[in-house]
Amino acid sequence: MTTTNAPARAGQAIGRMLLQGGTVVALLLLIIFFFAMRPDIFLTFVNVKNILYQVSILAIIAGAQTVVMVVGDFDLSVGATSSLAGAVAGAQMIGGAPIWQAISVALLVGLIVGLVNGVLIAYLNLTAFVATLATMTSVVGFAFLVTEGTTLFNFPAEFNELGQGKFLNIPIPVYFALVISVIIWAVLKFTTIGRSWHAIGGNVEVSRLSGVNVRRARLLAFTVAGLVSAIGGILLAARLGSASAVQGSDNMMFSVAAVFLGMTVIKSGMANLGGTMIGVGIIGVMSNGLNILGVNAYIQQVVTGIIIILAVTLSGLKTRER
Amino acid sequence: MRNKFKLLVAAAAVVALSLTGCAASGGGEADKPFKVIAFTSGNQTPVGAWWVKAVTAKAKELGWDLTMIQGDFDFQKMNPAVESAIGQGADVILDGYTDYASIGSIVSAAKDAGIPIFAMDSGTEPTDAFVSNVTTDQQGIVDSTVEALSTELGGLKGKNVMIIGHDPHPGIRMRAGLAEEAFKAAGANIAGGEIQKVQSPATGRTEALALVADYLAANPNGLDAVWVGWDDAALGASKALAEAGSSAKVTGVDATSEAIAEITAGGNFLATIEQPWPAILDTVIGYIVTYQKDGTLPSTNFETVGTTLVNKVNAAKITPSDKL
Amino acid sequence: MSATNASTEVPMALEARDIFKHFDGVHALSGVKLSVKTGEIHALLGENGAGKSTLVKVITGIYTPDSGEILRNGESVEFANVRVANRAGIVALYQELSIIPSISVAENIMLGEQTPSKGGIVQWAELRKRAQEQLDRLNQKIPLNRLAGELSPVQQTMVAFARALATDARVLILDEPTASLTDTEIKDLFAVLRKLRDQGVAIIYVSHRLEEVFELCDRLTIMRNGETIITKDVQESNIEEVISNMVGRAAGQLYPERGTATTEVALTVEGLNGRRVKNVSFTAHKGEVLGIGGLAGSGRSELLRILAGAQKHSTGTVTVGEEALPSSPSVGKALDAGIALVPEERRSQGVILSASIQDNIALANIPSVSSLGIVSGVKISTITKRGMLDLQIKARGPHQNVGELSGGNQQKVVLAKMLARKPKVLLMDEPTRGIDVGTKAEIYRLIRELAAGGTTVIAVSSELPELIGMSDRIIIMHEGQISGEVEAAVADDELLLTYCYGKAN
Repeated sequence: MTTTNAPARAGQAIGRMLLQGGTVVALLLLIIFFFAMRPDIFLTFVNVKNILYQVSILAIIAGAQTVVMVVGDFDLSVGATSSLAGAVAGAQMIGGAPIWQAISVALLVGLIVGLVNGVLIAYLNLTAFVATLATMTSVVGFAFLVTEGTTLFNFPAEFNELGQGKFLNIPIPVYFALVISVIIWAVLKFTTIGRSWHAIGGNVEVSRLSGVNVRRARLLAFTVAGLVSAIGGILLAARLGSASAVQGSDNMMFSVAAVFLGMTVIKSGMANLGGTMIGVGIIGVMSNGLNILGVNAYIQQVVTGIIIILAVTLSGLKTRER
Repeated sequence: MRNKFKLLVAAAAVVALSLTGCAASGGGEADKPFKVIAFTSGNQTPVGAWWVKAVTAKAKELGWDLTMIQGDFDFQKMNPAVESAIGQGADVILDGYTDYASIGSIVSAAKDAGIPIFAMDSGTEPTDAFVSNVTTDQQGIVDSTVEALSTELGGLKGKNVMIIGHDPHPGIRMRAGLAEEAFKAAGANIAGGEIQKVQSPATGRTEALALVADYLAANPNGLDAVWVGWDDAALGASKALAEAGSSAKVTGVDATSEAIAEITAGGNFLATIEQPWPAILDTVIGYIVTYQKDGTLPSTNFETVGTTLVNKVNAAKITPSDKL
Repeated sequence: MSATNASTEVPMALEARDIFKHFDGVHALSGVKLSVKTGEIHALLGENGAGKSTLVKVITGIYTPDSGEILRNGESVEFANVRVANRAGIVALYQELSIIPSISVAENIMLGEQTPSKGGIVQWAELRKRAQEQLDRLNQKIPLNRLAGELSPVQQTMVAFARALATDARVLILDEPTASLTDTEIKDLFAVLRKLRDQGVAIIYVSHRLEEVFELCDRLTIMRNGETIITKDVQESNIEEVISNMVGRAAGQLYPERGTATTEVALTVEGLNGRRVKNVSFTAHKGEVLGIGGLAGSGRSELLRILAGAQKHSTGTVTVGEEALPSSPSVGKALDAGIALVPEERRSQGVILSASIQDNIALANIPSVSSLGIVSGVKISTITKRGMLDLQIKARGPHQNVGELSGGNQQKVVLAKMLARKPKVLLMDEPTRGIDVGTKAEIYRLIRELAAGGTTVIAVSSELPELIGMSDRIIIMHEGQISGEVEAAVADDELLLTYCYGKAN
């Protein structure tokens, strides 16, 4: 009995590993594919730097989304909150406020949006979908009010430096993304609040009955997401040297996609920061690689969707087989 | 019980509203103030916001009874609003910056009610939908931008030019197509072999930035010029060029203050186009006033107006489109 | 210093005195008394709706009583919420809410306030050490870093125990802890519970399985209609007495008289092979109740699912009366042929908890309540009313949500839903799981009535007394094959167990 089963088991194990690693394998395959297509360009310092620069702000916002999704919710307002924060910072500076003040106020705005989301969801028991959809709508409205529908620009050079400056020939937002990701990772991994988030995301009732303060933890998760989104938005404004009410609105969908891709990376199927970064990597490499190959933008969009479906389906097979 | 009560209240409200509606239009007939419905889908853009203000001011000045409908780029919301306004009766309809393709239901409602639609910048071709559509000359825009690039680069033969467009916007789509023809005719190579497309105007700047940065990574020194259909994306392209250390030149369209500032600063941003919106609005208002007086319609339902190239020389004298 | 327990100097580990609690004018608890000694296993028994879970929630601080007093070691206490109760050493474990599948075993054990931390930073080494200590106390060898969701049900239960121990639980409340466990696992669990008792933990054991109570518990308290009826030493009681106290009348017979099955063949199964099922052939007769037994994993549930068209089989044929089922079956085709299944997982497979009784019944009967794609409200209402009447479903009305009903009544809704299709063969997987004794008797009576009306009932059960009591004939499966077949009238536990373990006759 056991002898006939053994090879089959081994085969299953390899298959499962491949499935589990599906998303990582997908990223590696993408890199290998683009490298094979354009070996002279794809992995050059300049291009890798380009990719990192292009995904740095998405990485920050996806980090915010990860926190909320670890708790088992999601936040549709991250993109809008980031735009609003960028707009608020810009409007402050144009109004003559010093940079530190502009940034502080913008961060505060992000914090408040997150807090409102948290109160609505954790204390007033709205579903995350309804609450964040509603705040997203209002926040976009606020952003239009702040920008008066125009694009704000002419920020102080020191501010723009945050988004456009370089250290060791690598753009500063890349460092920001790195530091924020490490912080979020550490908070999720090592702090009691991070572990509470994991517990709640696994099973709210068990957590509550085990004495986890579920409401406070969810409130905190949304607040953190708002704050981190604001950081992303401020950096985007600095990176572009301008702020409009809708810039970076694509970050919401991409952040959710990145977290979903990341959830496929680990066994428990939970949102996790390492996985999210792999998801961000896939999205960034796809876009850059297809641009380099000169693929039509519409086709790019189709292909991006298909890759996401493939990766998530692969890991879905993993959970289904039991 | 409670539901029935709610229903009753709702029914009463509907009746009351329709009664006041009738009363209002009835009163309008009696006093004969000139009733105008104005709408735009583009009120969230700077030019659209200016247009809403300018039309409201003109209406006040001329004593019109104005209904202003702002569509927020949401036709599902705007079209029914305009149609119900049409249902209440009006003398003319004024369309600002909304392509006729998106407002088919408004056009047929207006036709049924016998109300003429005057338009500005609402399509790039003549159409029966409007009694008048005054817009800018797309070919003229392309001619002057292409010529500016040609002069700057010392001729276009063999030069590498990237064209960035956005198809859902009919004006940008048309001028990007015309630009492609013009560059090909002048012997330039089109980078990437076709027009590069931005997917969403909201993220136009970041998309254009990534497009140009990635193209330059794949083809170092591969660009001599980037022709962009509108300033917001053009600013992204010029940023990418500057960051890559390229000296390629960029042109845009719109004359936003940000673009004008870039042009004045003398970087990669070479020129943009000023479209004379205040003058065009005056023309259209003039047509409406004539129609109000004796019912005369403009002789043609489509006309184009020349534009001004904005470069370093005249930049200081131009009123930016977001400061109108 | 109460004088009530003069016999012992030691105060009760937990005492509830004259607890009253009502919801929306309905008394859930009226004057409940419960006293649990340190170091005893105390069974809390009663039909569903008797007030057991409300009492547990009052004790653990989820509900605040309207009046009455809770004493812990003789001192009056008030628990504002679960956390406060936990701190006082009172921990409840619920059958469906035991672990968090997506985090590690160690974290599950040291959840919430137990997580050792300094300045908000989790002390992982300390956490693992303390988690291991708890597992050691239970003699469990479970890897600390495994995801709890990957463990077997019994291991998950053990992890939940370990968590309770980690909070230094002195009063442990268990709600149906054996529901998803096999016999050997239950043995292990009982050993652990006895060990905890010997360590001085007071255990309140809520269960519907009376055999277990008599095997494990020291004392028992029976509740009925929100009141405590009796508290007694288990040794001085017996099952009949317990049942009569639970239902409030003489127990009578739990199982109705067997009927006389016809010889007319209703279902023929020949050479059926599936994933687990191997070469299974049998026939069932019109008006017969055929019981199917076997250990978990023996293929008995898979057999039912194949018959119901919910799972594919590789070879073999299923014939209802004269009509052979198509080789690629579906639930719809099986239903059309007259085979209906009442599934094991009632809450996830049997009913939609958030929908009304009427909608649940309509859902399975769309063809018969609609014409030309339009659903007829009148027809739905007719079949719902008939079903509710026939099965005596206790509910406010056809529009009450199924989630608000007791387990027994939920099961009746599932039955009503299937019976409205007038099946020739009714398959039931664990027909009385999680159902109180009173309703159990009703279900058995219903099964018997159906059989008398000519329906063939095929029921899978893991409880041997039930299998013997409700069936006419019993088939036992072992590793996918039929290992024995016996007339229920002459069957006993011992014989059936022999078949279950695959020992040849």
